[in-house]
Amino acid sequence: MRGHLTTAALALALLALQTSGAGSWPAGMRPDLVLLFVLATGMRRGETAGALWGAGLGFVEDTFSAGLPGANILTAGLLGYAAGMLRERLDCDNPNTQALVAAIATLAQGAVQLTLLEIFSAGSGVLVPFLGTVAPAAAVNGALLPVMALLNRRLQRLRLLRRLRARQAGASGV
Amino acid sequence: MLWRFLARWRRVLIALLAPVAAIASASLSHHRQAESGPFEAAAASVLAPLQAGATAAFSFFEGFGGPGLHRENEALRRENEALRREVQESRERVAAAARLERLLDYRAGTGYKMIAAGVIGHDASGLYRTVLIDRGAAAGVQPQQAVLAPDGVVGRVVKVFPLSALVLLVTDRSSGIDAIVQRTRDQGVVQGRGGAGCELKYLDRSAEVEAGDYVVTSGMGGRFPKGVWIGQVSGINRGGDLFQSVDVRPSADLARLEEVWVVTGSPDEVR
Repeated sequence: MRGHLTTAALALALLALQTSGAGSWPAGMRPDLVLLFVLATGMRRGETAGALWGAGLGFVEDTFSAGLPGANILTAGLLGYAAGMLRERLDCDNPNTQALVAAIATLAQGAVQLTLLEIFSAGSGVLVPFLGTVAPAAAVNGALLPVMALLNRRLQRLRLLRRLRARQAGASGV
Repeated sequence: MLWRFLARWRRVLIALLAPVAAIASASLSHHRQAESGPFEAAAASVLAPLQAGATAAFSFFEGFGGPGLHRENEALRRENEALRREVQESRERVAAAARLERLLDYRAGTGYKMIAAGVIGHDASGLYRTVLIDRGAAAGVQPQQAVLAPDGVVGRVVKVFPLSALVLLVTDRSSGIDAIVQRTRDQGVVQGRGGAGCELKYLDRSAEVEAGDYVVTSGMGGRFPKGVWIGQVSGINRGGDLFQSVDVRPSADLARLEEVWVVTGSPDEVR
């Protein structure tokens, strides 16, 4: 329960950071923290968790988006699911795998969203925003996911060490 | 039994449920149009204070830091940091006062009923040009209301939550504003390009528009007040048979928006 609450708080913080700090990041260097979170969750906890977190966070992203309603639920949900499926097939602890998954997922999400927008909204081209916005974001996300995974591992190791020390201190006290 | 079924068919179920959820969300949003539903309103209400806090933190820390600070000794570093913070805060206050003064002058000049709002968020994906403002339905903001800055048009409200609202910027590709060229009075539609610029489309081919001409709102449709600056002509493309289009550089600095006005009533309503 506590773990789920921590994950939910982290997801909310990332969402707030993504929507508030995005204006401060230079153009073309904007990481998609929410997508990275969904991919990391999928790769760590499996397809069901990936799909559920993806769909849930996609819903919140749709709320704050002027784009096609439901587009983020669809793309983030399916990408979280796909990332979960990769867990069984690839070494998801490998930084190269993480970088590749993040880059491909960003490109796939961007392509799907732009195509949906082209079909259902005012058609104004896919290639220019894909090359100008999505491709740089894919590079940034590819570089960032291994770093985030490394930080997460370090934090977990620290937490484990603290727990072990507390347990040892308790045992010696007894 | 049920758990076994769910576990066995979870892949198929998720693959089916994700598109269904997306379609359901799209369908519900379409029916409600710009008004937010209970789930959206709840999500927006939870996130609005976080977004405001994160935005304030970003703008606070933006002016800090610099090379060489770590090389100085601890005492000097702390003193220097405190002084910098003080200067930064003073500058921020002076800048804020100047901005607010301009906003108040602007409102007094137009005669329209407006409410001030702060920008607390931006589009997360980078594919759309939107900002989130810290005023929503509780403050009287409604869908389709015009949003202005002292330098010109910012955009229009597209979604309203209880404590915040989503504003579609004039540079977004799905934004269209009826406009006229101030000097020649030729009419057209300003459409965003998705980047930093806009385009004045459906302009009569015989219109003699020049670079540097101001493009202003026509006031048609009643959404935007008449004569508000949208931008300046920066290039001319005399391409089509019937119409020509011109490049327009928005007059409002949309990349650095901090405070905006939401037009909530016309001068007649104010009287």
